Amino acid sequence: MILDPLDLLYAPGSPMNGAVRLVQIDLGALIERFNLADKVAIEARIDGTVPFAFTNGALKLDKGYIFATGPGRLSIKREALTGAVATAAAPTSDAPGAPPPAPAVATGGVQDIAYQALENLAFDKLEATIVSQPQGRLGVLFKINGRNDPPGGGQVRIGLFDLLRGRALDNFTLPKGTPVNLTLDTSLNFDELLAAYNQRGRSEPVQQVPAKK
Amino acid sequence: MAERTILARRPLLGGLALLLLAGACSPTVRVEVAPINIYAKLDADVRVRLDREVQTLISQNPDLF
Repeated sequence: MILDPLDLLYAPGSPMNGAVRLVQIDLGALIERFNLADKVAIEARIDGTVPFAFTNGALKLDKGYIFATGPGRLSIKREALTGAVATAAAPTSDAPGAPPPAPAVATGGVQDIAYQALENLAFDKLEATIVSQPQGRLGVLFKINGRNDPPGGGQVRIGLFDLLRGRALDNFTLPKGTPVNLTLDTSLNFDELLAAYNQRGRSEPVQQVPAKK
Repeated sequence: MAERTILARRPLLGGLALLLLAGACSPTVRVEVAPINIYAKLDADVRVRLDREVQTLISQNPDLF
């Protein structure tokens, strides 16, 4: 991580503005440090810039942008998600920070297909915007383009009679290689994490997070 | 006589041929799924995990703190 030059004003209560540049951060190793690692696994190295403002003792991030420097993998177990997944209309804009398209909650077999895609996703492109949210949370909105890539798998065939009966999606296995466009809207308890980190910093020396091999 | 036997077996042979033809055209459909767009939400209250060694140490020494 590189800290860009800061704007510092001497007037009391003046905000401190700056930006952190991220270079080749191993997102997988980072997630492994948290309890989320049981449900989410990612292989990605990211670059990006996260502007911040420190005002009245509060740290706020705004217009942060990160992106994967190469292809990677993502696996999210369904129990990690908040509510049901939704199949969304094609996004109208690829611009970072663009609001996600209005989702339609998926049901039954369609929802199961979406979960399958989330559990075995190989991606070519990953980017995300970062912005502070109310109540001390940090919003990270990922846009990921990839494909379903389960171990094994191949062509999928379904019975003609199941198709005619409208049961084609029952126990349907999503074909390997199916293109997936994922909008992953996440939020973290950022202020709590900062407070815990500061508390830990007072009680013990900060240990360097070992790089994942 | 032999000609009559062959004529009598014609429906049977025809049925067998039909079965073979039906077997060759198995009633399955090859599936290709168009790109799927997914929206998922993940609100996480994350905690820093203790290293496995530290967890073991604490479990082995419950009166440590």
